[in-house]
Formats: sequence, C-alpha cells, structure tokens
Amino acid sequence: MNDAVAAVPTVPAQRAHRRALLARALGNPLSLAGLLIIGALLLISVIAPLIAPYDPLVTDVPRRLEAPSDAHLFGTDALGRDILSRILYGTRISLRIAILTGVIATLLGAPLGLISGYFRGRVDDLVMRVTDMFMAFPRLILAMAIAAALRPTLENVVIAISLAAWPAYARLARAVTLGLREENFVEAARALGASPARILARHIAPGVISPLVIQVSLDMGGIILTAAGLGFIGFGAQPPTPEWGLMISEGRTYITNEWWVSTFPGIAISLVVLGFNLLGDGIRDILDPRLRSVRG
Amino acid sequence: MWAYIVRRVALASLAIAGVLVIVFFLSHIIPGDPVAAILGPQAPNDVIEDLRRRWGLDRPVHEQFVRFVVRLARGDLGDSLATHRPVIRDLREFFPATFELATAAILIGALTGLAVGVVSAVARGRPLDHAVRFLSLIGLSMPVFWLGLILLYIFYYRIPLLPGPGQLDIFIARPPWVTGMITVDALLARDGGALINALGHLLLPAVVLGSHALVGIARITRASMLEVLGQDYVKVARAKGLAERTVILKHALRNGLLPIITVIGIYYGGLLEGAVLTETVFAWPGLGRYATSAILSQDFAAIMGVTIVIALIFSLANLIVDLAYGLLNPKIRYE
Amino acid sequence: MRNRLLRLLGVLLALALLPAVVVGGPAPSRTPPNVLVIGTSIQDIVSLDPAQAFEFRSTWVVEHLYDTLVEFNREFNRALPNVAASWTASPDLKTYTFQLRSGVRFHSGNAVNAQAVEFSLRRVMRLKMSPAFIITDFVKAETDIAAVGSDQVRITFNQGMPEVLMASVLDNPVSSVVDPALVRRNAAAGDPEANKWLTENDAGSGPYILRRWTRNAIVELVAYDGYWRGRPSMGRIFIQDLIEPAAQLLALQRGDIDVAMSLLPGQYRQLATTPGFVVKRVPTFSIRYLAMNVGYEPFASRQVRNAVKYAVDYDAIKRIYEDAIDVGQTIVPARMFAHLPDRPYTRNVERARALMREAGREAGFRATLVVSTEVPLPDIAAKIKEDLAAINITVDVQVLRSADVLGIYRGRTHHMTIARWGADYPDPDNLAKAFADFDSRVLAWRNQWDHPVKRVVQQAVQESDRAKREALYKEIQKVVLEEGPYVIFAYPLRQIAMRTNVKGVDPSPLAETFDLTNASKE
Repeated sequence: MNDAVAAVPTVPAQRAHRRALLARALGNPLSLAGLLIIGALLLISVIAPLIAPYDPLVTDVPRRLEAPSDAHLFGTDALGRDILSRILYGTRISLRIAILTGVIATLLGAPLGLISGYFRGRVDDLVMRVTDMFMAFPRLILAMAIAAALRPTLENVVIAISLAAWPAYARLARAVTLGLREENFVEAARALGASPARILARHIAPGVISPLVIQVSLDMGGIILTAAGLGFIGFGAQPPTPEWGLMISEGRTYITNEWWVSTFPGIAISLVVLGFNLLGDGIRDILDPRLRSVRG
Repeated sequence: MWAYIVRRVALASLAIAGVLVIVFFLSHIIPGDPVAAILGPQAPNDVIEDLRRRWGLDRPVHEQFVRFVVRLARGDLGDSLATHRPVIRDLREFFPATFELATAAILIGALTGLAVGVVSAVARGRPLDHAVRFLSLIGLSMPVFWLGLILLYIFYYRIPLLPGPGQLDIFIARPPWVTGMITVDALLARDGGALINALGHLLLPAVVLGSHALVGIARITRASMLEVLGQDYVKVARAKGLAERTVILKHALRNGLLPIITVIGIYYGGLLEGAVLTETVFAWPGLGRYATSAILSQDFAAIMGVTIVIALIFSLANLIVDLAYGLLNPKIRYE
Repeated sequence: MRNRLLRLLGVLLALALLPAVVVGGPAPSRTPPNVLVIGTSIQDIVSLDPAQAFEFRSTWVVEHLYDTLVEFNREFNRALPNVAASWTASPDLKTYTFQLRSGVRFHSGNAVNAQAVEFSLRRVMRLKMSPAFIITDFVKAETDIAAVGSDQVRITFNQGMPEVLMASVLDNPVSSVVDPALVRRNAAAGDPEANKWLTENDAGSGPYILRRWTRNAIVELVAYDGYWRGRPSMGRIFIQDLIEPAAQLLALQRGDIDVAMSLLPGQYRQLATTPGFVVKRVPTFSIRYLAMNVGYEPFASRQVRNAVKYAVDYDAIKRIYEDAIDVGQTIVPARMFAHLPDRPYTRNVERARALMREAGREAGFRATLVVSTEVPLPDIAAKIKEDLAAINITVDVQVLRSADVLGIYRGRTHHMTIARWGADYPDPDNLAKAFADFDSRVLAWRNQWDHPVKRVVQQAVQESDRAKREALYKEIQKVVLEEGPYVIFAYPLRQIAMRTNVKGVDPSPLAETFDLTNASKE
C-alpha cells in the first residue's frame, strides 16, 4: 500500500523532475539546437501570414524561375510564386501532417495496446498478429497503396501514414501496460474492486501516455520524410499546396540550373527533421537512467 | 528450438496471408483502369474490353480472388499486365539487383554505423561525439530522393569521380547470368574489369540507401556501448589494467552487439522502402522500380508478387534476427 | 590511450569510406565515334514482336529491326517505296498490288519475298494482339492478303484507301516483315507463332540487328552489313534506360550519352542555350486540351463552357511549356490539311463573368480537375485553378496515377481533365472523329457531347473533292471551337537534345520516335 502511494509522484516532485529534465536538455548543445529549431518552426507556422512577403498561392508567370534576389529572397518557382513564402506557409502543412498523424496513430494504437497488455491471452495474441501483419511490409509502400486507394489529399496522407504507423505504438503501449499491471498500485485498485475499464483509464493509461508522447515526438521526423516521399512520387499533397516534398518534386526539373527551386524546400525539410531528431536524441539520452550513470 | 522455429514460421505465414488479402482487395477496389493505363489514352474501346476479358478483369472481385488463391497454391503468381510475362519471371529478373543493392547498403551502413557509434560512445559528451552525431543526424534528416540527386550531381557531374546511373557501363559486357547480381557474377566469371566497374556503379546508390540504416545503427551502437561501458565487468576489466582498445573492442563491443544486430536486421528488411526512391534516381533495374510502376499502373499480379516477396523478406529477416539473438546470448531461451 | 583508440577508429572509418575514392575511377567522358548512346526511359518496352509492340519505345526499336512495304515521306502526305519497289491500285482504291524489291535479305540471310510478307501480315491477324486493329480495321480476312508468285503481294482492303491511309496502315511497325523460317523454327506447342521468342529476338531485315535487350536497363543494336540501302554509319546504338530526367540531363552533360529524349521542358530550354548542345524541336500532330464533361450539370451550359475558355490564361500556359508549342485553338493542328487558324479566345475575365451571368451561374460552382503526374500538367492545373477562381469556379485539383485518370476519363465520371490526343494518321478525319463524332465513342463520347456536327464528320470522310472536304473540316472546327467542351491550349512540339557532334537525327512530326538510320557523328 505504501509503495503504491510512493509510486505516484507528488505534483511538486513532478514539476521539479521536469525542470531537471529541461535543464539537462538545455545543457546538451545538440538537443538545445533541436529545441530551438522546433521552436522556430512552431513560431513560423503561427506567424507565417505576418512574415511571408507574398501570398504563397498567387502565381506570376512572367516572373517565373527568377534567381534569389532582394524581391524574392529564395527566388521564384515554375509559376512565379515566391519560394520563401511557400516554405514559410509549408511549415503549417508539415506540422499538421506530423501532429495529426501522431495523434491518430496513437489513438489507434494505444487503446489496442492497453487492452492487449492488460487482458493478455487470446485478445493479446490477436492484436499482436495484426500488428505483425502491418509491420511485415514497409511503411512507404503500404502508405502508397492506401493513398492510391483513398485518392491523394492531405487528409488521406495522414490516414495512410497513421495506418502504417499505429502498430509500433500499440506494441509500445502493450509493453508498458504489461509492466504496469503488475505494479502494486494497480493490484491495490483491483483488490478494491475497480472495474478493468476504470483501472485502465485511471491507473494505467496515465503511465502509458508519456512514453507514447516521447515515442511519437521521436518519430515526427520520419513521418515528415514519409509524407515528403509520398509527395515526391505524386501520392501526397495536391498542387498548389506548398507541401515541401511536392515542392522538391516540382523543382527537380530545374536542379542543375534553377537550383533554388528544389534546394530551399530540401533544406527546409532537412532542417525540421534534423530538429526533431536532435531533440529526440536528447530526450532518449535523458530518459534512459542507465546511460546517465555513465561518466563521459 | 525447432518447435520455436516452426511456431514462428507458422505465425509469419499467417501474417503474410493477411497482408495478401488486404493488398488484394485494396488494389482491386481502386477505381483506376489498368488496361487503359497500359494501352494508352488512344486505344480503341473494344481492344481494351478484349484485353480485360482475356485477363479476367471483367469478373467480380471475389471471383478474381479465388482464382488468385488457386493459382498461388500451384505456385503460379499469374502474368503481369504491363510486361506480359509471368510475374515470377519478372521477380527473378529484378530481385537480384535489389538484393545486391540492399546488401551493399547494409554493409556500408553497418560498418560505418558501428565505427561511428563506437567513436561517439567512447568520446561521449566531447566535441568529437557531438560532431559525429550531428553529421550523421544531418544524413538522417535529408529526404532520400534529394540526397541521391545531390550526390549524383556532385560525384558524377561536378567531380567526375564515379560512374553514373545504371548497374554497369554500357560498353562493358555483362558477365554471364548466374546469381543475377552483377558483382557476384563478375567475381564468378573472374572478370576484374566488370567487377570494378560494377562496384563503382553500386557505390553511390548503396551509400544513399544505406544512409538511414547507418545513422540508426550508429545511434543504437552508441547507446548500447554506453550501457555496456557502465557495467561492472567493464569496470573490472579496466581496473585489471587491460589496454583500452581491448576493453572496448573485446569486452564492451561484443556484449553490446545484441541490440545492434536487431537493428541491422530491422533495417535490412526496411531497405526495400528506400529502394523505391533510390532505384528511380539511379536507374537501377530492381524490385523497387518494379513495385512503383506496378502500383502506378495498377498491375494487380505484379503488386501481389512484390507484396509476397517483401513480406517474406521482412519476416525472414525478423526470424534470423531472433535466432541470432539466441546464439549470441545463451541466456535467452525459446519458449 | 584513448586517443590512440580514437585514431584507430578514425582509420576504420576512413577505410569504410575508402571505396568512394578508389573504385570506379573517372568514367569515359565521351562515347566512341561510331557508337550512338541515347538516354531515355525504356520501361515501356514490353515486347519487340511487331505483332505485339504497341508502346512507343517498343515500336521505335521495332522500326529499326524490321522493314515495311512502304514508308511515309517526311511530310506525311505521300507513300514512298520501301521493300515494295512500286505498286498499283485498283480504280476504287480497294486493291493494291505491290512489286517487291529484289535482293533484300533478312538478318538470317533468307530472302524477303512475297511469302514472307503474306505470312507476316496474316500472323498479326491471327495473333490479334494490341496493335492488330491497325490492320484488321481495314482488312477483313487473312485471305485478303495474298502472295502472287514470289515477288508480288496483293492486298484487298474493306474500303477505298487513299494513298495516305494505305501508308498509315502499311508503314506502321505492326506491318513489319518477319522471317517465316525463324518464326517456324522457334514456334512451340502453346505458342505456334513464336510470340515468346520474337518478344526478345529479332527476325527482321531492317538496318539494325538486336544484340541485347535487358529490361529496364539497355537495348543494344548493331548495324546490319547487308541492309539493302547500305550499312548505316553508326556501328552500334545503345538505348540506355535513364528514367529520372535529372540523371538523364547529367549524363548528357557529362558526355556519357549523345542524345537525350525524355527530358522535361525546363531542361530542354536550359540545354538550348548551353554551348555544345542542340535541341531540336518539331511540330507534332497532337493536341493538349482541357476537357469539360457535359454530363456534369454546370458544363451542360454552352455559356459556362465558353466562360472557361475566356478565363484561361493561354500566355501563361505557353510560358509553362517553355514556348515549346505551336499556338492554336482548333482541333486540327497547325500544319495539317484543313487547319483553321482562328484564335478567338484570350484571357478576358469580364467577358467570362458576363457569360457566367448569362448562364445564371455568377455565384459559381465547384468542379474537380483530374490530371496525371506528367510534368508540367500539375503546374498547369494549379494555374487553371487560379484562373477559374476569378469567375467563381472553385477547382479541386487531383493529381492521380495515369491509370486512375484514364479510368475516370473513360468511365466519364470526371468534371474536368487535361489530356492529349495525337493523330493516329495525318488526316483531319482522325481528329474530327475523336473530338466531334459522338458515335465513334472517343472524346466527344467521353465528354458526353452529342452534337449534330457528327453528321458532318461522317459526311466529310466520304467526300472525295479536296476543296469541298477542306470546307467541311473547317466547318467542323468552327462548331467545336464555339460550342465544344474543350479548351484547346496548344499543339506541343517534340524536343530532343543532343551533343552538337551528332548529325542526322531528326525527329519526325508524326511518330513519337525518330529514325536513327542516317545518324552520324563528327
């Protein structure tokens, strides 16, 4: 009983813990850089309309394919649209894809993982076989097939990637649940006559959420790349959407001469994915207590 | 152990069967018209109808599925709509090129990844660690197709160091087909010129394809090494005054290898994903391109064939990884 | 201690990267003088059997391996002798008798004779594969093709055939002469016509011999010493598969290929101004157009359709094509017989809005525009979305696989699509039928536009007086221009880029491909 109480950290302790984590994250230059990139991304996506010099969709064909200049810092694309403005607005699309995919995949995977890990037995077998199945073929190809079946729109890209990504989250949720269900505070709740639904919702789910959130944030970079890959082969966002993968694809025609058309969106994707990866690496280091004990 | 293998194979077959059912119905409910796509926009209607009948595409979906299963049971994957050949023949022709590319990619990825990971772990927290990790993360963050185009531009065009797209210079005769992998065939034929040329062609696409695996492997190597370096027996070894090199390579790396092998296995299965884009950029006549064009033209039989191969490889890679796990760590017993 | 270890690992790392420096070495930067290397995508080559080849690069290779009875002149308005040295036609133009050239031999050494011609054409009719309709539309029975002795062939068509129409059948690669001895030798039980063997081998008498074809990789051709016109000057031709246009461009610039034939418009424009390269542009008898489905309620109104015609920014589209187009708005392309040069439509938003008001549609409507991923169609679609927004038409662009686009178009479930039509033969009949004759179930049918002008189309093909015929086709064009469901953007030009030392490679205006027999290098 006492253990159960001890296992739930007090609010001030949690806060202190978080502050310590933050301090540690900021102490590492790489994760700090990641944090700054993601922060900038979030900021830009909010204030894009304020800072973008042009409307990202308005074409100006006579001024197409102009090299970077004072008027167009990143040049113009094949329809004379301002590439800088398109990239700035593009942050919203990439973020939306990444966040929506993360949320949907978690909403699909977590409940299944919880149920599977808590009840074990046949349910567990069934869920695990289904995840096996989904994991038995590569994400991009599955997403391609789904995107083709559903018609390519931004929403369907999200659905396609989510459908391909949820099994990993189901497995993670299951693994965490397997550990938590044996914990004393869960045993205690069970002894007090709480229903499985209540136990899952009140006692286990909170413990599953944070590793899932971390895992999703680690995967954000990969999700953005998959979406860009889909855009590149034409299964993703539709023109004239300023989606970065689509912009690279449109610009590859001009790669040797009008290099700016595909280079700037390429750099934008790489930078954002790099931000997520740096941050993810930092979080991973911090969260693994065994790694912390090793002196560098 | 045999019981374990049998159980695993049974489960894997189940998973593959599920994948096949899903992909079959998924690809058939798409409203596109594969025959029209193959014959082009100007083919007369009756020619299209005729071909559709000939391929049995005018039948209801469930009927087509039954026919597919019956054929599959006989080991027949059907004929590709696009190439007019048995799918099995297409797979046999295109698979070796992808296998060769993926193997080269994983070799480059694993070797470099291990080295980077170990360096990074040993130099933990120092500028070298940060620099190495930062560089490898940059590699991980670049879209594969973009990286491929940039490398091609630099190493093929700007600094003409490497041969360009394709598997072999066109003036070099292809060594006789034995395995289908040009480098291996050149080796078997003792054709040094072809071998060197083929390796040159292989390098860029393999680096591009292996780049993501490289970073993943480096990452896990670093974490695994750090964990092992903190263990008592490593401390003991150090205390005994063993050379640092011995401590790291003999004691730490060997024990840290387990999770690394898992990751290598996972990446190997997943390389086919990258192959789709890499093979397009580098004009590599492999399965990735075959898969893309099959999906693009809705070539049902080919889609199913590719799905089977990919699912098989993926399951096989997982099985091998699990078995290797057991061999390396006798503490793990199979249920 | 630790530093030494780091150094060791550094060496390991360097070793892992070493292959990058050592292997390969500099590739030959120029192709040998008697070899021509062409970069393109050969993914569409499925079969090299003339009776089966239908995709455009398959037929292109077949053209170089085989001979046909006759061939077109460059202007595509006359038939020239080929294996047939001369011919006579019956007064009703239904029966042609061809006198074969003597001394023409297959690559195998066997003689090309009347029996071989009869065998080849009948074989196509027996096999009934994709391109067979090109013959069977005009020839009823196998017996209508008959050898007369060993040097004459008589062909009886099911209708009167003006010379151009006859040539459009017999110049087509499907009418190639194959070596009967080789076909019989390689026939198998389930494959009496040796289709499987001919798919990958050649049995022709053309200027080149097939040395090898590796799918998705390479086609290699070797000059045929015994070619009846004399051995072609290029000893070997390689057609290398380079599917990614950017990679193809790099290969051309680096000198690994001599000719690039599937670049994108922007890349051609770039090469045209680069010293050392030539870009050849030729008119094609093809049309790029936006189709509106009359079955979709708003487009049932002629005013709405014409409003769209006034809303589109034609100049912008010309720019997107990098000016590689002939301008024109009628269904018979410029440079073809009976072309009507009228161009009434330019972007005029006021006029378009007025038409929308007239139709009671000033509040606008939504419509979907499906296009394939082919460059630059997505750009054009984005531009049209913007143009039509000015007259309150909200366009949802969907870029789909060509399988999907064609499926939708043939299924007549589209609202709008951007498509291309190329003339199968260089006569306005082909285009009038497609665009204006609902009953021939092609484009007018797909867009559910059933207009009385179809009677004029059916009448024009029968008209033998040239001036009257021209008047009829101009009338058809005018009707389609004013009432039809098509916004015709332009007639695209075909482009091929090559190094300046390559001579004699000239794209033809009709075929997608071009003849390599006269190619040479300086």
